[in-house]
Amino acid sequence: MVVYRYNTGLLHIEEKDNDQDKEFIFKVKDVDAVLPALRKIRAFFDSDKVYTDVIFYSHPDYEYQVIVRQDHYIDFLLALFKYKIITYVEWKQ
Amino acid sequence: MEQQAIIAIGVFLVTYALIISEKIHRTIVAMLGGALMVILGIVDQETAIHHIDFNTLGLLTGMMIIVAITAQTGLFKFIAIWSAKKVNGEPVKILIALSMITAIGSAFLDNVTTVLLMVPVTFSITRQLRISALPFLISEILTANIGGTATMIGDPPNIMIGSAVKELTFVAFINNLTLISIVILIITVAILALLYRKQIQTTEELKAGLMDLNEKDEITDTTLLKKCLIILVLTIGGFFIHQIVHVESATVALLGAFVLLLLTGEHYLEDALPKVEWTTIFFFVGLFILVSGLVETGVIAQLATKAIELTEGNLVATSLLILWMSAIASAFVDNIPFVATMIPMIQEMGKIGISDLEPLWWSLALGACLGGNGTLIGASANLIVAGMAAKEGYNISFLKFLWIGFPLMILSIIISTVYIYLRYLI
Repeated sequence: MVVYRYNTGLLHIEEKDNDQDKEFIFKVKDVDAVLPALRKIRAFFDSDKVYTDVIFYSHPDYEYQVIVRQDHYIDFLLALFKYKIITYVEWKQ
Repeated sequence: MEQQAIIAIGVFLVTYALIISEKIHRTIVAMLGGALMVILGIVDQETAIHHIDFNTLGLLTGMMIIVAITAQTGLFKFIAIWSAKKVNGEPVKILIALSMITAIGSAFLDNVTTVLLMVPVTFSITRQLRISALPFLISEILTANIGGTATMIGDPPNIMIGSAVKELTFVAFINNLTLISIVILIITVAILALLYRKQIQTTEELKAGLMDLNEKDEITDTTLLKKCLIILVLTIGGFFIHQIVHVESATVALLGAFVLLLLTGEHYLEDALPKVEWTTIFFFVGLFILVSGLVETGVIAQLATKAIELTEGNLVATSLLILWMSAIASAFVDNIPFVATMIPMIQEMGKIGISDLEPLWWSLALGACLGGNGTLIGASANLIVAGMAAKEGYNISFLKFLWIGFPLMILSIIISTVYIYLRYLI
């Protein structure tokens, strides 16, 4: 399994199963620090060739729901890591 | 028949067969076929270039540039989510809403671009509601082709007809095709909604999730959106008055495109020009030259004479023959080469006896555009959606589509037959 950490002062991340997918809820606390990075990640997955790999949904009050296909779960985590939304990621036995 | 005419028919038929077989890209085949007409001396280069309809090419290019820039603003996503919320997240109503948006989009943009913009947002909405995207995708294919029938710029056959016949203006297309397209659209969507209503059920909780979405966040660049909307409105307004101000529709579209690029800057120029579907543009170039070989050698004139002999010059019989032949042919072969061949044939019919060509033009437009709904290979938009769906695990097979598309296409042609007969032939 994969574990990850993030700065809880900047945002809160909730992860759960959604049917056959993974679902993330991002509650952004520091808009200036987190939002530009989240938008870049969204733009990346919106512009790639797979339409249903990672789908972003914007909710009010800077809350973002992201449905991630199981086969793109690691890709998504790595994108979060690349843009420093998560600061640590590790494979754990 | 002269030897030149026989060679021209041979080149045309081989090229046509290769286009239908889809073994080699249709643009390569059409361009080689066109080049062969010149090399074999059927037409000289000057005549070949004279036969290329630059108005069709300019109109397509201009609209593709405007759409490529507008697509970056998130406008379509905004409209789709906004409309899904307006119908309270009810899947059947969302199916109707997305189908209507696709039809309206297709009427003013090209079908392929419209479905390219609508399919991702359809996946997004259906995923949120945990329902199959398949009914929505099939409905969007059908309504894209119906919507495209409604205006002069909605579908390549209409662009070609409008460009070839100066009297058929943008307003004339609206006056003659929009109402019938709306009737066909409403009937088709109603049937699809009835057919799919049980397959697209969701829970109240998921609907509530959709209702909570913030559609305004989909707009990525408000300033760019304002510029795009102004230019889009001015361009469409320009189409309405292009004949009054004696300006061709291609000039209107290209003017709109380059004024928008002037407003947005170089960055968008480099981004938008590669998004023009150059393969489609060159496909047209090849076809125009290919058909010029048949025109110059008198083959088209002979075909027109035979068709008139067959129908004994009767306007009703000729109109209905064109309508049904165009629909059936367009269901199985690309409607662009078909219309490219039919246009000079109808013009020739005008020279040799039929005085009122108007019913024939509208029959050709309705048959060629609506016929695309008959099979999965009937129109480019069908194949694009099927390809996008297959990549995401939704299989729209030839037979699965035929089962729904063909009867609905036949129904639309029956409605068109009644319309053509009542409006133009009695």
